[in-house]
Amino acid sequence: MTNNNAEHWTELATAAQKGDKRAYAELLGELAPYIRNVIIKSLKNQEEAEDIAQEVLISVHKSLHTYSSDRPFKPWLMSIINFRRTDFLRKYYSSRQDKTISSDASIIEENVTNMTTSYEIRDIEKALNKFSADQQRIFKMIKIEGYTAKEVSNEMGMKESAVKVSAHRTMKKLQGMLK
Amino acid sequence: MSKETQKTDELINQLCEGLEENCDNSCVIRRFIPWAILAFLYVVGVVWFTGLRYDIQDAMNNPIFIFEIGMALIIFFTCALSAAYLTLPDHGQKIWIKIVPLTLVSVFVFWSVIKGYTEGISFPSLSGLHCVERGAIVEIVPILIMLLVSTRGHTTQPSWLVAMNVIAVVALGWVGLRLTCSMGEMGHSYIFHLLPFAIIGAALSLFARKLFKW
Repeated sequence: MTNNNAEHWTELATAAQKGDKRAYAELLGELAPYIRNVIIKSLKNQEEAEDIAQEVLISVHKSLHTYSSDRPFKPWLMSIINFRRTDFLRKYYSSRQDKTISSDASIIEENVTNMTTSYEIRDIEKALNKFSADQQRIFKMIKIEGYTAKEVSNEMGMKESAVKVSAHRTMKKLQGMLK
Repeated sequence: MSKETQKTDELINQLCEGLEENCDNSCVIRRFIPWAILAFLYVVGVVWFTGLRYDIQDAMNNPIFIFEIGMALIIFFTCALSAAYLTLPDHGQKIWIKIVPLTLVSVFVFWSVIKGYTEGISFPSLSGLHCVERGAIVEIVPILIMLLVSTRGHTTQPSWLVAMNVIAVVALGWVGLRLTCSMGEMGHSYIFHLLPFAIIGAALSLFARKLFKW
């Protein structure tokens, strides 16, 4: 985005505040791809990025009257984008809290069509049982459930680096055990 | 064009249809001044109604007391102004809105700790409980008005907004209580003037996101 664009957006927003629908349509039309590009950098899922982009557009609409042309437009827009993105990520991670992966053999047999894979899973489970409870938990959260090292460190009250090291060592030992 | 992009275009059309002329131009001062004046007058009214402390003349000749009241009023003013700016998504792009109030609060806390250390802090007697009631009378109306005014904004930092609202009102309440209560010991002030409202403030901050949802 160039400075010219930012100045153009400032002009369009000021005109929109006065009720100019054409300027407003132009503004939102130009903002939509920009917002999408900003969000897609931190969210790889295209559909979710589009959902957040739409929420940002609605928020821009709701709070247009709070924008003042004596301030740059981009920081105003970015604060809304960051707010909506953080809001989405908070909801996303909190909804993931109660999701667990069952290691029950009967469920695996019923749901995993490739039985060789199910035996492999059971082998991994068996090998994993030889590790301490904390090591198992860290490994499962990072490698199976997909949590980041930072989230696991917050959850377990450990340093992020210690979590990474633990997950890495468990992985290496598991590879050795399952050879 | 993907289905999602098409939806975005439809949304833009709908938003354009719903556009209304609005030249509010984010003048937070206009929102802030009436609230600040009303809250101040309310506290003056409560102090007037409940009666000033019996040794108010002595207290007003004490520079430490004047400093305390002055600091509390400045904290009230800056926190309320900061809260007003926090109701804007970009908080008016003012970098001072957290730094100045928090510095003042830190100075006040530091000063009160020094005062407590030099004068000695003892656990206050329960006879000071009336200050909690009076504090509630002083603070309940300003905090409700302030929260109501804040919900009309579009904050992107709800927790900070609650914090600034609560600090502003607690500072105002502190002034009101110090003008009506002659017990100046820091133990009494901490337990009965500050602690109950700090707890309420902390509880409110748990609902910050819901409170200022937009």
